[in-house]
Amino acid sequence: MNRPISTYKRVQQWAVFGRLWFLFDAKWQNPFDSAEKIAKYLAGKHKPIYHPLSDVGDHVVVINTKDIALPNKEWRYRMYYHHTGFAGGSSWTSAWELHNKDQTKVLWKAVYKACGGSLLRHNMMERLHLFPDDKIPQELMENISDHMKQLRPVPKALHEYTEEEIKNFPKVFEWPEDYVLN
Amino acid sequence: MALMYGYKTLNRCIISKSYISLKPFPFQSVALSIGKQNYLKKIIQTETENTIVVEGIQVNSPREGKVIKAQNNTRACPLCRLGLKNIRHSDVLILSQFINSDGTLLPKQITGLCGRQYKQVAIMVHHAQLAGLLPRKPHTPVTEPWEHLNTYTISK
Repeated sequence: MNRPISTYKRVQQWAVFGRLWFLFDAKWQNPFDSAEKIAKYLAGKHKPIYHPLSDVGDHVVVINTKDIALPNKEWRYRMYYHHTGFAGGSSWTSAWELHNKDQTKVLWKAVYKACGGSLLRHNMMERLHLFPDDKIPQELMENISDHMKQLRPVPKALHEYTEEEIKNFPKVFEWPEDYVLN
Repeated sequence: MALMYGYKTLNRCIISKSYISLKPFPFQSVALSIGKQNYLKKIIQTETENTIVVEGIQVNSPREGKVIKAQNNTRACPLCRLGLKNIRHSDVLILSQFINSDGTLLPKQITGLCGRQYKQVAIMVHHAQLAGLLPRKPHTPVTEPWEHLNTYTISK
């Protein structure tokens, strides 16, 4: 006779095999470094029960993709190649042009590459949800259970500090005698 | 009508609007300073009907009481004596003390930085300006389309 699963065992089963939804804030993050982390979560490699054929990958919702940061001059010089398949259909687009056309594409392509070359890649990409700002549909918002830690610290510009904070910050040197303040 | 002069010269000057003439006001005698009060100068320009009065008044330093003292009485530069040798471009509150409001660096004679630290600060300020964290000189009307996007500079 089949015994029904105990409550404890059922909770354990859900906790182990349940598909989670993670939130990642891409503000001031390098898309290529964060793509490696996102692909790891999409594959399920953060779980001890991981197997490529077990379909244990989680969903990842990425917000603020319009605020990603590329190092140095990569916005200008990083090129994306595309060929339509027809004669004369090859094109090279720079990262800033691609970003202006679609603000999620740079991160999408980075995650697509980080997922590897297997047939599971398209399934993983289906579970990736990208949003240029922080407006998420309510259905997705209800599913999100945890968030992924950011890789780079978010810098604060001088104009974002209040005048009082700047004034009260300890100073490193004193003005010389008879210095003209203007 | 703006009057440009370095510090430690004229204290007050009256200009009549009909013709520009410098009328040096009698100097104040330099008193012996007893306390550690640091006096700075501020230029104030007041306009009446016929005259412009350009005055240099003595002002207390705005950063009185906020300056960190080194533990020993060293002659090292402000950053070396405090051990701030590895400043990052994101340490905006420290870097902003060495620049003007338009982003140009203050001279070494005023800040007291050594040559090595001055170079490092100059590089970090440039990195911060590229990332949009510090103000820089306003561009010519045509800006590059990739400059409003977030960038960061990789430093060791």
